[in-house]
Amino acid sequence: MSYVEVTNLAKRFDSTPVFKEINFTINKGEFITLLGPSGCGKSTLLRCIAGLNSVDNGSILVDGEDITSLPAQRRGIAMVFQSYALFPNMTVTDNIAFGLKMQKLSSDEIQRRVREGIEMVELNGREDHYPHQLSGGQRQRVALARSLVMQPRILLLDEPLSALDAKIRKNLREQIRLIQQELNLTTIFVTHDQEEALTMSDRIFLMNSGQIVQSGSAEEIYTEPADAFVASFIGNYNLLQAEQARAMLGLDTQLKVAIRPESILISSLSPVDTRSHYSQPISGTVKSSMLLGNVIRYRMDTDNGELVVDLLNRSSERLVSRGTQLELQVNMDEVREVA
Amino acid sequence: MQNSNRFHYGVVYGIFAILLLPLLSTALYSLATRWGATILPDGLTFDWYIQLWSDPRFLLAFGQSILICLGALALGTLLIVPTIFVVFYYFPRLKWVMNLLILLPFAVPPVVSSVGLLQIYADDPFPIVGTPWILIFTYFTIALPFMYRAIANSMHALNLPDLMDAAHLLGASTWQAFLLVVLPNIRKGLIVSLFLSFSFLFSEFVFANILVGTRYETLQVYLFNMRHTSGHFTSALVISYFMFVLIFTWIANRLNK
Repeated sequence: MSYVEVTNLAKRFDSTPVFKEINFTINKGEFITLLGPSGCGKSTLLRCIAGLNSVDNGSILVDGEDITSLPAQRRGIAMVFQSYALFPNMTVTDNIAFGLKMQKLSSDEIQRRVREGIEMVELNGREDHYPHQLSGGQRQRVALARSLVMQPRILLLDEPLSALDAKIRKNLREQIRLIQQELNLTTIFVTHDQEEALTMSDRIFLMNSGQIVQSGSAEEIYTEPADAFVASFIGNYNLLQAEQARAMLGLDTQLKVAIRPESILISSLSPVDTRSHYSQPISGTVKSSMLLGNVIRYRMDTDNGELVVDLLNRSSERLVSRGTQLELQVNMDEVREVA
Repeated sequence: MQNSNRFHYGVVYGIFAILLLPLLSTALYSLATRWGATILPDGLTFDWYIQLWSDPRFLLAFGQSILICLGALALGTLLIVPTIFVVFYYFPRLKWVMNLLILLPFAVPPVVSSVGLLQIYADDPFPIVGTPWILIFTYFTIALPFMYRAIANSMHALNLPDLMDAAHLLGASTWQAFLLVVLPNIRKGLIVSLFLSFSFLFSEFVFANILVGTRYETLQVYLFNMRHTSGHFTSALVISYFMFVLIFTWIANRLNK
């Protein structure tokens, strides 16, 4: 049986629906990401699960218990906020101990759990600091510890990394995932950043305008986009209209076609992999090139529209200058028709 | 560079001196035995201060002023702190109404509003004209704008919705969250506003004189009534009063850092 069951959940603000007919199940210990553009309803959905917003319809079950109408205090759910939401008047220790004190645990128990929490997020030596004396990454780790010591049934993370700079974001991302796996903690993570979603999650629920449009593993979402929205949101898919696809690839299709940039080959530069089935050569002109580190991204003009092509950056002589004519071939095995 | 600096210092210290001069001469006058046709007083003495601080009427007025100010500030705190919390947390859209309301005590001159206050408080259900209560009920309205501004500023600095959500999720009731999270964080703003309002109310004269007068003499009314006695004596009174308010304002500034 699933650990979390959400059935037919719906929420309106005034008369505008925020989300509707949300259905999903989560297994114990799973790391789920709600991914979607801003305004798609993912944060509100998270707040409804936390009990911070009410729902208009549907039910939320955790471990068989219906928590739909329980107040936030009694759901056994912890949440980490984008703004950290640390209590400015309390030290690191007091912040982490706050929830335990509310539960009226013995002071020995509180001390023990706070110490564990501090060790888990590696904040030893910062126990007596106030939030304003900590960096952004440290603050978010305090917030994480404050949630973890509550031993919640579900951990909710509402864009916890969005206010941090890139390097700290990557470190904390890994740390969160490690702790989550170690504790086998059922986690729902909200983000609009596809890289975070793809690297951290067991499963991704992709949301758009108040609905889950696709759910699946990172691999599934990335390679098998369910529709044009998913294809345009995940990766850097080339999205071709049906007539473009017919003309360019000779495909017999009435649907849009999604092509990943890395599944297009520049046949004048790389040998064609004979195990795959490639399209006829398409001639194109280099419009621009961008070095993304391990990948070079070309924008190519063809007779039937623009194509983005990613090439592994193996040596600098491959960097082709603007205006060069090249031959492209598309790996037809990786071309997806989408609605 | 050097010259312009010197000029700036000159201007600042010049203004400071002009402002300080009357105060210094009052202080000197309060310490003088006699200061008539000479540039400097004939001699120095603490007699005026001793005389003042042993006058039971002065001590009574001093105590009554403190009592009324404390009463007004306590009433103001009890009313404004929960109100600000409710407006900021539950009805943030009503902030503009609060901003408007809070300006009203400023908009009406004391002489005008005291006429209205006399009307309201002369008859039932609140026949309190001439009692200290009318001053408490009037003073707290004067203190409200100061208190509201200072506390609202502290509240603005907090991310109130997220802090309340976090406290709720950690098991705190709204009341506990208010006591343990919100109140400690606005405490500084509250205390500063209390000290400033105290200094301000302590020197209030118009309302005190019109609404109560000698029936419950405050320090300012006492000073007014003593205006025909020795100038040395009233100078000692002014300096004593000034030092008291100065210390309060200084504490408020220290707390604000």
